[in-house]
Amino acid sequence: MIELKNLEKTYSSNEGMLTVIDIPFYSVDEGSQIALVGPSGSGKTTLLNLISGLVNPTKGEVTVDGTRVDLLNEAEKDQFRSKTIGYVFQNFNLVNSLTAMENVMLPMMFRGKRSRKQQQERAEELLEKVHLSHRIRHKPSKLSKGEQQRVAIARALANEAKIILADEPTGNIDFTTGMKIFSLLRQLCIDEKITLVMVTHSDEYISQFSKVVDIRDINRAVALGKEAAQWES
Amino acid sequence: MGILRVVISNLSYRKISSILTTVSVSIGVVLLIAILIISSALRQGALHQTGDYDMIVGAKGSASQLVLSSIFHYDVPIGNIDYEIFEKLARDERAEKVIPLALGDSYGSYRIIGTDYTYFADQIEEIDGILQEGTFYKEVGDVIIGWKIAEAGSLGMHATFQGAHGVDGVDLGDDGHDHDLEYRVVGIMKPQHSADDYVIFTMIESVWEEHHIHGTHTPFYHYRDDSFIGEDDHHHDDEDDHHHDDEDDHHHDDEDDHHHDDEDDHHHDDEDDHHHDDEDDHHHDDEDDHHHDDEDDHHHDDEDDHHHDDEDDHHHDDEDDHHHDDEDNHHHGHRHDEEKEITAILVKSQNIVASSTLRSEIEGDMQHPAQAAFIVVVLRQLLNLLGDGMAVANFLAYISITIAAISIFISLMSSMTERRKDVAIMRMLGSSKTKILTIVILEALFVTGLGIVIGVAGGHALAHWAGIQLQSTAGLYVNALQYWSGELAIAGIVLLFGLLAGIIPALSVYKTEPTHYMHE
Repeated sequence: MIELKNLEKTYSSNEGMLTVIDIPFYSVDEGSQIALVGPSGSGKTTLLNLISGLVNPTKGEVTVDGTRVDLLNEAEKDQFRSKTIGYVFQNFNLVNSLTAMENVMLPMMFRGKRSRKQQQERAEELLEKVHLSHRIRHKPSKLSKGEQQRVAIARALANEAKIILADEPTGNIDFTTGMKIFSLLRQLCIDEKITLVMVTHSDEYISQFSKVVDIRDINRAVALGKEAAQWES
Repeated sequence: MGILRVVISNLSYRKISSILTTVSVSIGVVLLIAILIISSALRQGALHQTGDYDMIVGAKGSASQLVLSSIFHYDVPIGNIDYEIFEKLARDERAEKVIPLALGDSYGSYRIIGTDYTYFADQIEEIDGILQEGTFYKEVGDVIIGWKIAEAGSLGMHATFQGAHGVDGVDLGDDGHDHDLEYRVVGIMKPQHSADDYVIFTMIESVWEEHHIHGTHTPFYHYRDDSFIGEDDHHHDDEDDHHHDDEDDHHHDDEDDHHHDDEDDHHHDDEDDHHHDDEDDHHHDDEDDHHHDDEDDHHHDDEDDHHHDDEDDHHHDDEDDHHHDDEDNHHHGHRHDEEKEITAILVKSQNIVASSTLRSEIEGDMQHPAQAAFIVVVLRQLLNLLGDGMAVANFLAYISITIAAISIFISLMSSMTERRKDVAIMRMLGSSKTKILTIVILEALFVTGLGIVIGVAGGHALAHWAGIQLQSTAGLYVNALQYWSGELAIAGIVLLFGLLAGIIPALSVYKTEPTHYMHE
């Protein structure tokens, strides 16, 4: 599902070129669920951004679901993200001016494959799956953090994504709620046969994964530490 | 969900900012539209009101005041001029159309203006066409009223009333007579969309009668009809032309003629009512001019006819010379043709040369002091004054629009920090840059568009209100409920302002690097 070859990401800084990602080879199987772990600044978020096409690699290949993401132009990358990738963030990243349902409908609108009615039905279905049927007309500011994250999960599933990239999705939520959300996310990915790559620091969550990848094992640039952490943020 | 929903959600999320921006756009548009409508309507209305007259003759003084008072029925009249000026012009072939106006009285806030039917129509047969109800005035005291007066309920068909001297609360030099002539509404005019909608029209004779001046008036073209002028010395076609009750009622010493144009001009009950000593003829242009009950009613010492053109035509030795039987008997000192005056004369000349020479002659006539003003020139001066004011108002309106545009710009820019994150989210969700650009520009256009819609409606409402004020004060008709050319241009310009105001924030957002804002 995901294949990285000679992947390199370098930033220029006052002190010269700074390499944050240097992965000779790594692949993720379709439908697998991976916990991506590692210290701050080890390149976890940058790796997710490279997979989604939000960041262009300096060198190397990124292949996702058979598509060479590194070769896509800007518009094609937008299409690719819209079709293939679902994102879940620590800070939810919902659009505050839109309701829960509208937030879920947003990626469908950008994809442009569903009619307004179909978008609505799909959003209602997904919000029901994350147990938010009663909150569909609420704006993010009226939802709890747990509810916001559930909306974000529903949104990530909206376009029947092949891969969900979750960047510390429970980082801002209390443990009990976080665990519920984590379980929900994993179950939905299993149900929909979605590949899940989840960045986390918490052992409680890590222990739930059958496959855990420490980025230091695949990224040769990790030794740069603190400076790389600045780029990560 | 469509892009528009996102746009509206974004705007409603920043309600106060959006409302304030919309209001500022609206204010600018309201001003621009109102100014456009009022200035266009005034120019159009001014031309409509002046009809095809090229010159106005009136008392010496301010030409603007003359035009305003006589044509727009606004401002106080300067004064009166001798009726003879009208007669002279009426006979002059260089003048195609000569229409007298006698102002001075009012009923409530409505002016009573004396004129003849030529003011309204070219042919007497056409006169009913101007009426929505009733008939045109035929007798002294009959009036027709503008439809706005009827609409206001101030007067209706068959209503009777008495006029008050002066207009707009300004007495124009009455001699203290009571106004005991009872006016009767015999007709209501159709909407003229002009100052005339607020005017009470009557016969010139009614206005004279109100001031105890007994005289007759005939429309200008009668003076050119050979069969009418000078047909015989003293021509009476009908009964009741000239009725005298007493002996020696009517005594004429002078050479001048005695000229009656209208109905029921003179009433004498007695023998020898009318005594003429001199050679001159006595000329009546119309039917019913003079009625004599007895054979000797009208006595002329000389063989010659009786024709009076000038002042002092009609001389009465005694107060009782002239006796009136009807209920409008005057109990005051009577004045006669020698005091016949009118306020203004509207003239349509045959051509420019004619109007120019006529003007010189009128202004050069020391015996009958008057001014003759070219209406277009005066109007141009008035509209230029108006234009200066409009230019200032336009300038202020454009300043207002510029401020509104800046407001849109600031509003959009100030929301950029928050927006950048939204944009980053949208990019992450697969939105193209073009869609993001479209959303931001649409927001600017939506605010501007809404401001324009509200502004256009508000502008029309303001113009309508101003129009009502202008109509009731200046007599200028402003139809604010129609589309005026230029409105679309204003909407386009303002929309362009809005678009420009939205482009910079949109481009700024366009360049947003999503990954920079995803973790904030």
